[in-house]
Amino acid sequence: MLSPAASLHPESPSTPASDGVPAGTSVSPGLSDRLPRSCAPPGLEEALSALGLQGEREYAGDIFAEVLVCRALLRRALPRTVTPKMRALVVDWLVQVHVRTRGGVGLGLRRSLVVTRAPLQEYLGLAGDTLYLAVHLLDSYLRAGRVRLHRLQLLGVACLFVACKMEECVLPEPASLCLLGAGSFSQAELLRAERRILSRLDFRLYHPGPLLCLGLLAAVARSSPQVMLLATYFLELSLLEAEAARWEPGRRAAAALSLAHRVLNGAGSGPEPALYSPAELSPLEPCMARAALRGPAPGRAAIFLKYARPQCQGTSLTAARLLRRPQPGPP
Amino acid sequence: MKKFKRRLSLTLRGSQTIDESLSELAEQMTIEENSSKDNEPIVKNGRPPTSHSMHSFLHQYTGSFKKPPLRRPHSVIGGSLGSFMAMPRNGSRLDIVHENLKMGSDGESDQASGTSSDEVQSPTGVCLRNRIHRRISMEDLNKRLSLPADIRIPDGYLEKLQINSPPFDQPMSRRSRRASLSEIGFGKMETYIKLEKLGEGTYATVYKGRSKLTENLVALKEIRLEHEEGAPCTAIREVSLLKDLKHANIVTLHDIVHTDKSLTLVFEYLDKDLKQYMDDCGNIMSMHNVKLFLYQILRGLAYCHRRKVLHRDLKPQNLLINEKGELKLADFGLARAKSVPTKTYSNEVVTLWYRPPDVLLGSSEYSTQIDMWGVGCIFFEMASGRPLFPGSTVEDELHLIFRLLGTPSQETWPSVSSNDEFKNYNFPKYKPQPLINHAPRLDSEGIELITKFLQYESKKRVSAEEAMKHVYFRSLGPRIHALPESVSIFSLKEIQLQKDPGFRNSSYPETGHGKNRRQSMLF
Repeated sequence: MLSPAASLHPESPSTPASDGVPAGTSVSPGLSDRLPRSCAPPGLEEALSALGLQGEREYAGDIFAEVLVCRALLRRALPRTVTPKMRALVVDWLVQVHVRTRGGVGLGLRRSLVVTRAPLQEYLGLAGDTLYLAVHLLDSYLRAGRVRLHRLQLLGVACLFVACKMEECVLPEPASLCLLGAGSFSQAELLRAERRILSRLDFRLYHPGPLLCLGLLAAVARSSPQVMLLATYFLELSLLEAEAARWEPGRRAAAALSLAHRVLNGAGSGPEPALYSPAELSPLEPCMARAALRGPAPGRAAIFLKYARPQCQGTSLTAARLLRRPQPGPP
Repeated sequence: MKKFKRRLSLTLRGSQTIDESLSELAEQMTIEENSSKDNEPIVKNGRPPTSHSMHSFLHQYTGSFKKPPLRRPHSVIGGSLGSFMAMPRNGSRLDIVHENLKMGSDGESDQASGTSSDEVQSPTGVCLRNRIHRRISMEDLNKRLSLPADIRIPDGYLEKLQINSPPFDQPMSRRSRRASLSEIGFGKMETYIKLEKLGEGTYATVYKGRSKLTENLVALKEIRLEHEEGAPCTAIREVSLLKDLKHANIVTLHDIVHTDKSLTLVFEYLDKDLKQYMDDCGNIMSMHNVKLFLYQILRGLAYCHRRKVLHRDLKPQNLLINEKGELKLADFGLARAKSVPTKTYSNEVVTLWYRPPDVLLGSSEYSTQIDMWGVGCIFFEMASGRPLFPGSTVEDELHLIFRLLGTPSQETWPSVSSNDEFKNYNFPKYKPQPLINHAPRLDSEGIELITKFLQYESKKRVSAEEAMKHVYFRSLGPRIHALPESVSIFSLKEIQLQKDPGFRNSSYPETGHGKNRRQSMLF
């Protein structure tokens, strides 16, 4: 017996949501067919060693396939009560918190701009994963059921807390996270929210985020640091878009990288691994470009400001300038 | 940050969502179910109208899509709605919610969160589906909930199910599955009887226990939750990892009971760990069994490594063995962590004996090869009956390694000469000794394999995948390589455990001996 939605589109593939995978997640089967274990793109081993994974010669193909062909949240990305705008607001706030938490000092001090002292790597390397994981957890949680709106901020910070437990060596103090929430929730509430997240997501927290995909793709394409920085910025902007959460990490990363290449007129990189056709990336690139052009709009300025800092070489400013320039148009 | 709330409330003003009463929601869900376009009636709620692009995206892949198994919902919305529609909101359903509330095992039914929108039932559409009756058998149930075959469903549950549940040919939402599991007894502490304490650490206590559902023995790892920190990260990492790992040579996590005081992980029970096993046979194992155990270690590891999961804390105490000789990797608390801590949560020092020299010298390389050194050490220990490098400090550990395998030089380990820590230690220049002198019971093929594990340069170490194909394992026959992941190697009739020469029937009481049991499972 078909459920109503499926019977409407009898030929559309059903969502394979087993007991294992949270309902509504899916991989794109086409990609996994294109990426059989044995035939990883040429240059993958070199790319892995560029990323410090030279030991993985045996598993290069497996890892590549797992990282890129990973589940994306499908269909109902947000519950009815949460609009994309509200979600963007929470993510934007998480970016601010993330930046400050990473700074490690002066958590309570509002305008101390600890930010400026944090080295660039913190945003490109491991720490970045935490932010992506936090947003992924947020989306999974929102998708799995209802949330009360005045608890959205608490939910966001609890997701970040859980993500830190997965990814970081040093944990932020729950007390400092509460401080960052300006007293809108207590520590006890934070821990209760954590429990609720773990339970609703059934402890399925691991998610190879798009940042690792981007690293792999850029290493395969031998992209220059400038391309990489720009792509990282575009990718991070996609966090703000509820729509982007529906695409698998590999595709988001590929779109960010391809947009960065195009914006720089193809300078500073070798051939991109052609995992996705331009048509497959087309729904994502405009969404990133739009976000980059929007600049420091109220409620979604954090990423723009973060990448405008000198240690990010003013990437967000460069991006806006390059995007305003007449485009040669997609190939 | 104060702006946050104001902003949030600003975004609210435009949409009507917050004022929506539950009845309105229920109405919408009915519309949603009956109408053809699921996004049409909800546009006013500000939901992104993206389902078109999603559909076209899905269409691209239609050709290669496999037919889903029976219990998977055909679509998230349809599936969950359908099954909830068919489940009248009667006493039994409320019982579950109440139960969860008390146990705190289900976050959604947290006191404050009230009724979730999914649970709002429309009275229409309930009856039709419920009429299709079919006798539900135990097998149906087990298959549907993917329960172990030997489970004992509480009396009366099946009868209740006949009346209340959606028809069995219909997919089930994750949520209703969880509700069913909870009703059977999963996620509740009452389901498990604690038998005896197996060990205790600062953060966790491990009990031997029995499940009332299956009458099987279980190991209950009870982690006390610190009111400051919430669930410890090792537990969070271990559980999220084990959720993804299903393999005959990896310990099975049966259940999780999460309350505000403690987090209890319910594992399958295995009689002993490799350390005890070796003790019990007086450290003289049958060489055939050594081979079987090593193969199983490699089989479990290869599975992990293919998923980019590193164990990072391999040691005999973390390898559990049952009566059949099945060996399973346990304790994934350090796996996927970014760096191997020298101290765990309980301030127990993580043993250095199985740690590779590159890590001892400060490498933070995150590669599967770091597990392979430990495999070599364990292989040696099984074959010789004593630990290979029982160092007490980092320096001592390195010293022991270099004394046996030779102090590394520019030729044997090119990058070591630039390592400051190595230079500071200023080790004497030892010459490598033949391993056969220390493990005389190993045959030449075994010696060759162990040498491949004990390579200084991590990238030269053999991978688990390759090692399984080594000629050392040829005597096990060809069929062992073709087994499905979830099948034990003992399912092949040619694979059998032999009697260990030094085996004493260890029926002596647990006192003293049992004290250090299952240290592995403690933090």
